[in-house]
Amino acid sequence: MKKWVEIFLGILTAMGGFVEVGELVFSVNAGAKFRFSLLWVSLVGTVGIIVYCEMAGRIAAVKEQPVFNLIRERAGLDAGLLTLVAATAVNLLTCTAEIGGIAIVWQLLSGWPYRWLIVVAFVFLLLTVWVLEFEWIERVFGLFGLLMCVFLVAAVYLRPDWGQVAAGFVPRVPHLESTSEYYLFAYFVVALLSSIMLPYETYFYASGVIEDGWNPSDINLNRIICVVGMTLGSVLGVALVILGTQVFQPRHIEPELPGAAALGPAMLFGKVGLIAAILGMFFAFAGAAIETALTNAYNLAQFLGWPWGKFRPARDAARFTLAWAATFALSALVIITGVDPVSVVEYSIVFSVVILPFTYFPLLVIAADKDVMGEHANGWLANALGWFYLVVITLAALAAIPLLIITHGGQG
Amino acid sequence: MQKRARSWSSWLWMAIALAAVVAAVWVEALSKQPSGRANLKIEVASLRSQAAVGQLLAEQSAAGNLTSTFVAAQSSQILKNVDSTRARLRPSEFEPALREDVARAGDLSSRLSEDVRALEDAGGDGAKANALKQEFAELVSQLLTLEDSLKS
Repeated sequence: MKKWVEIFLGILTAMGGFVEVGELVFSVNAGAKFRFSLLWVSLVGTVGIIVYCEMAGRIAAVKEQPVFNLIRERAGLDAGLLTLVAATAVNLLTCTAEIGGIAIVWQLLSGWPYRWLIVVAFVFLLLTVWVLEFEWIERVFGLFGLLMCVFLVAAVYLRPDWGQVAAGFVPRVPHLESTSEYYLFAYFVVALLSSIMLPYETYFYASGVIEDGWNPSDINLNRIICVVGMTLGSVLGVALVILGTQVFQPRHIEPELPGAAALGPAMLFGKVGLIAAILGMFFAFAGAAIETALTNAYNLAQFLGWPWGKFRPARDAARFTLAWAATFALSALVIITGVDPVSVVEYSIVFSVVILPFTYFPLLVIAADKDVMGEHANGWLANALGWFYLVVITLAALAAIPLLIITHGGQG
Repeated sequence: MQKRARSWSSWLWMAIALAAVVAAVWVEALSKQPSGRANLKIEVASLRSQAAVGQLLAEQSAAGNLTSTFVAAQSSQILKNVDSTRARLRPSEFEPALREDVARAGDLSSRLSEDVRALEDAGGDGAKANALKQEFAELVSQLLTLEDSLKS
């Protein structure tokens, strides 16, 4: 019975923690700009994140080794250090975007000044991670993040043409008016893929497996949670694309601000829909901010050989504790200077895809290695999917920065 | 295997850096020229989108679906975006042939800014929001016309 409760909670947590500010902004905009034509990217991205999170979780359960240990071991100190610096910078950027998102949604609820709300968000996040155990952080933010399901209910309520929705899952490039629109479409393909396969998710998941004390007997649990939780989470992403298509495209809106996305549920369910959407966004963004800050601490500690883990008292893992607190502090400082949070979201998503291949390659090599993983090494399907996705994300990493520049940050 | 992984990582880092440098040099070369039709279209599209959000906000406020705090806060966030777009619409920054269109976009952005400010001040007043609905709709229509005329 306890096992089933664990599976159920794990699935709900994975689902509720799937969407963050980048995915929200890009999914709604993808629908508003290209209708259902980008739904196939959600499918490709979801299978990709399932494949690599499953591998990372399996390695962590079998070898009790998280991702950055493996990167240092396989890529060497120099290349590993470069990846660590890049991953830390990208996580910092993502955490900055999430804190900006939290302040925006709190402003929509309270009307308080944005900059004060950044300070409040910083203190709230700091206290939350300090006080709550790892398991409770996962559950509180994952489960309350399920309030985002209001977008799913809204998407169904809007009665889209399900035939067109289904057709959107078949990879294709729509007929567009100009070359610049084709570049923009390519940019959205890369950005949407990146927003679903954000690198911190894999780092955090693998470290979480060790925090939760999983072992080889939990490999099936790992598989079920990855496949079911992330598939259900991606349904939320699909709902956001449908909302963009049904609500915003006919009204000529390309929603940049999270508050604009909340207008969809408000239109259909009034103030209850509005509040549920805003609270869902808050828990989703706060969960992601915590995950990115902890991920930075995990990565640094694992690479540099410091004691780490939320399960340890702070004094026994002082540098680890300092690292996540410093990530919150730096992120809050960056966003309080007045930088546009939407631009930060944009950059965090684009630079995330750049570091994905450096994260995934060592994972794939280890997960496939029978000498290391024994009977738990990748089968033919995991290997085939792993190599396929490595090629896909390598191409996306090469195209990401040029597309960001050519499309003026995704504007056209 | 370790050697292959290191070599692959180094090559990929170099390829990404090269792609970024080429794109940056290209953009730097372009930025020395005055902005053209495509850039103006981007600014007008941004204004059109903000005006359309204003219209939806006014509609939903009038229908009683939003809280007054939400309307005021969302309006203030839209206003920031409109004002930053307005600041970029300086005729001297664009090609001389586009100056008339830039001036037109500037006028529409001023009107939009005033309307969003009025919506912010209206808070949850349904009647005031209802009155602003039509004004936003007209702005959306005019901005769409201008945007279409800028399509090359």
